Order: sequence, then C-alpha cells, then structure tokens
Amino acid sequence: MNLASLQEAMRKWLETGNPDFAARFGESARPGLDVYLNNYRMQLLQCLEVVFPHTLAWLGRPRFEAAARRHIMAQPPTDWTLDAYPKTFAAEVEALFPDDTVTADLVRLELALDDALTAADKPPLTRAMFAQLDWELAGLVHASGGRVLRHHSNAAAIWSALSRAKKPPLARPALAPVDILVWRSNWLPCFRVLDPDEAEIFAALVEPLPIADICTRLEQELGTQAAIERTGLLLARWADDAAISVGNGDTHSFARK
Amino acid sequence: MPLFGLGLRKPHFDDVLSGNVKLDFVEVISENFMFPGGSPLATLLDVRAKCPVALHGVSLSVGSATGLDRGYVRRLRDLIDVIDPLFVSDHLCWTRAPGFSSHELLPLPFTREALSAVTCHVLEAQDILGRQILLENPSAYLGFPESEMPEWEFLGELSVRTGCGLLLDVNNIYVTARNLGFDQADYIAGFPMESVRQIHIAGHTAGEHLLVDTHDQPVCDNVWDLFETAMTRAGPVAVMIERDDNIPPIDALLDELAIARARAAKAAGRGSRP
Repeated sequence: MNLASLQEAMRKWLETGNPDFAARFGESARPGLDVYLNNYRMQLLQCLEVVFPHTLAWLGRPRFEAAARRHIMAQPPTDWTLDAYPKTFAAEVEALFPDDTVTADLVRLELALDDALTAADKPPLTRAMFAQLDWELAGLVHASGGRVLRHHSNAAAIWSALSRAKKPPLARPALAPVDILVWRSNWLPCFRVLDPDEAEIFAALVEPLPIADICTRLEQELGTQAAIERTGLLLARWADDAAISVGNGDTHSFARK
Repeated sequence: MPLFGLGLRKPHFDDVLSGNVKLDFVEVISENFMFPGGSPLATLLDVRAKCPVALHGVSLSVGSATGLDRGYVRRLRDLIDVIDPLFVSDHLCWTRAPGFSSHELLPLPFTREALSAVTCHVLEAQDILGRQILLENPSAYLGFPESEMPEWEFLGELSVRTGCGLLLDVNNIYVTARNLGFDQADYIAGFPMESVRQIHIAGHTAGEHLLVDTHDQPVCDNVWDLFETAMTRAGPVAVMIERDDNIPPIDALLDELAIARARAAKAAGRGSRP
C-alpha cells in the first residue's frame, strides 16, 4: 500500500470499525488497530461528555451514550480542533429523542455556553462609559459569546438545578417560547431569561444597533417618557451584567468627540 | 545544562501562577490555546510572564498524504507570535485526511515515499511558522511491513533534510519497543541525539495485548533507565514530565522531576557524548 491508500484504509477503519478495513493490515495488526479505534472513539465520547455534562445527567448515561455513539458513527470529526466536534451533536439528540423538548433545549444551551467560553474578546459596555458615549452614533452589539436561544421548555431551570447538584424540576413545556441570552462575563459563560422587549432588541443585534433605535422601538410600545426610562433601565442592567458591547468592540470609536 | 520542566495542565496553572513552583519551563498543548478569545489564552499569557513556555501540538499532521492544513498552521503562527515559545513541537504521525480529523496520533510507514511527504510538510510548516519545529517519536501500536528503515533512521534523515529538531519521548520508545518487538537499546544507540532539543518522560498502562501510552501513571523504572541512557548521549536538552490523566498534586510531579535531575546528573558523570 502506498501512503495515501494506507491512510484511507485506516480512516475507514476508524470511521466504521468494519473488520474488512482491518483485514488490509494483516491479522497481527488487529490488536494495534483496536487500540487506535478505542482511543479515537473514547476521545470523541469524552469530548461530548465534557461539553454536555447536564444533558448527560438529564438523559442518563445509557441514553446519552446511545446518542453519542450515533453521532460518532454518523459524523466523524472534520476540524483540527475537537472544540468543533460537539456543534452537530444537537441534531443527533433531536433525531433520537424527537419529542423531548427539554433535552433539545438543554443540548443547545450547553453548546452555546461552551462556545461562549472561548469566543472572541469584546470589552463590555460599562456604566463608566455612559458619560463618554455618543448616544447618536453608538451602536450596541452582543458581548463576547453573546447569542439568543429560544426555549420551548423549562430546560434553563433544569440546567440551573443540575449545575448546583440539586434535584431538577419535572420537565414541562413552556406556556410561551422563552428567550435566553447566553454570553461570557468575567471569563465565565452565563445565561439568563430575557424580558420580551429585551429579546426583540437582542434579536436585532445582527449588526450594531444604535441606542437611538432602541429608544424608538420602545417608544412605539410605551410612549416617549416610559421608553426613555426603560432604555435607561435596560442599559444599566446590561452594563451591570457585562451583557453587551459597543460597536465592533472599539468603544472609543463611539466616544463623544 | 539541561532545563527541567513540566507539561502544564489545568489543575496546576494556579501552582505555577502563584510563583511558589520554580520551573525552567512549562509545556502546554498548543490547540488548547488556539481560540479567538477567552480565559485560556489570557491565563497562558500570565504563565508566560512567569516562565518560558513550549508549545506542543497534536494536529499538525506532517504525515498526511494529502498535505498540510495551512489554516491550522497559520493559527499556530498567531499563537507563536503572542507567546514567543521556547520550542514548537508536534509528532511524527498523521491525523488528518480531507473531511476527517482523527484526533489520534496515527502511525506512518517508514518508507521513502513517506519521508519525502513529511519532508515537504515540515519545510512548509517551518516556512509558515518562521522557525524550527521539533518532531516527537510517537507511541505505536502497529508496524507496517512496507517500512524501509527504522523510525530513528527516518527521523535522522528528516532532521538532516529539513533542519527540524527532535523531541525524544523515552516512554514512547519503551512502549513502541515492547509493542513491536524491537530492542530499545538499538533505538537509543541509533537515534540522532545531536538533533534532540527536548525529552519527554511519562507513564503508560498495560493493556490486554499492548502497552498503551496513557500518560496517567508515574514513570516506571524501565523508562527511568532508558532516560538515563539517553542522557549519556544528549546535548543541552529540555527535560520534562508529561502527565495528561489521573493528574496528581503538583508535588508528585516535582518529585518525578527531582528524579529526572538526579538521573541526568548521574548520566552526565558517565556520558559518552564527545
């Protein structure tokens, strides 16, 4: 075998565990091939266990491992970093447990938290910046790792209970969709449930959203004076939570000249 | 004088950052810090302010028949530019094919075809990285009848052709020698020690049929003996203990590092190096 055909055969062996591919290396190679196969699969399983600890706890090990095995067989890793591997796991979970909205919400929440951990650094908006901001020009963007998830269950409460090693509440569907903001604050990923008007604002943060536009959006619902007060309250809340950034992270570019 | 350090893993970052642990250098896994942001890189920069850092990778895949992942190499370059590492190393193995990344150090046949491919990839990587890289002998669980030379000869020729340095893992010699049935003394005797810049010492586990390079056990006596033999022929290398699983308190690793120092001193007393 030349180098390319040898590597193709070993790749097929790892992806499938099919003995036909092992046979190409001879009987004496089988114990070694088994070690490589075991290492390959265990590493991927451990990667999923690390990223989805509370999904594992919620599902129980047998059901989690069934989903993980399915994922490992269906989706070999393609990226140089293992951190990319969990990204498509949610699809396997949903395929295996199609009526389980809690698990579907849990797995997406844990993936977002994991992504937030190493997302690009963006300095958050702080109260100290308020005085320097050009309120006409300044546009708000998500903080590091910021993302809004729409939940259809009480998965967030279940995650919180599991993270404190408490007994989780019973699974139940949400009466209405719940919007969850995930972001990173002080190096740690975190999340909270958004108020409906906040959720609309965060959903609009696909590009820098001028603070003036936020005021206008709220004014249509609340009237001028209440909108000003609500905008102030939300800005203070976001600053206290380090939940939002300014522009492309360069806060100075929006400073008042 | 050799340098003595540790493979730094998460449980021991605070020990190093406290300043209470004095090491000549630490080594970290490059890929654990190749992120857009977050605390891993910030913490590594704090460590870098305390002591030199070596970057040890697992995804360069110099043995891939289909070429280097240049995007990966450029990301590694970005990290190098920030950290200014003591060494940059990876393994003589392959991990990647188009649409596939094994995340397992897979073995190469030691053929002239493989040597030619690895030579091209090492030269290309060193060009992008703007510096010499070190390549480590990995543990192997199978050999190939196609091989045309022993691993040490392959690495020696590679070093001559590319100017790359070598990272000698004495545990990997022991594991591979036991698994594939060659004499570890022949390996040490034939290894191009003049190219060795760094030495790894680690533990392993006995599997059902083979020894497995688990890095989850203390270093065994046989590996210490092999290390001492290697040090009789080594130049000024950087020596470190590598522990990746079942990680004990740092004092246990510092105890092993003290053994390494003593063995290195003993080897220096009976060295055969000119």
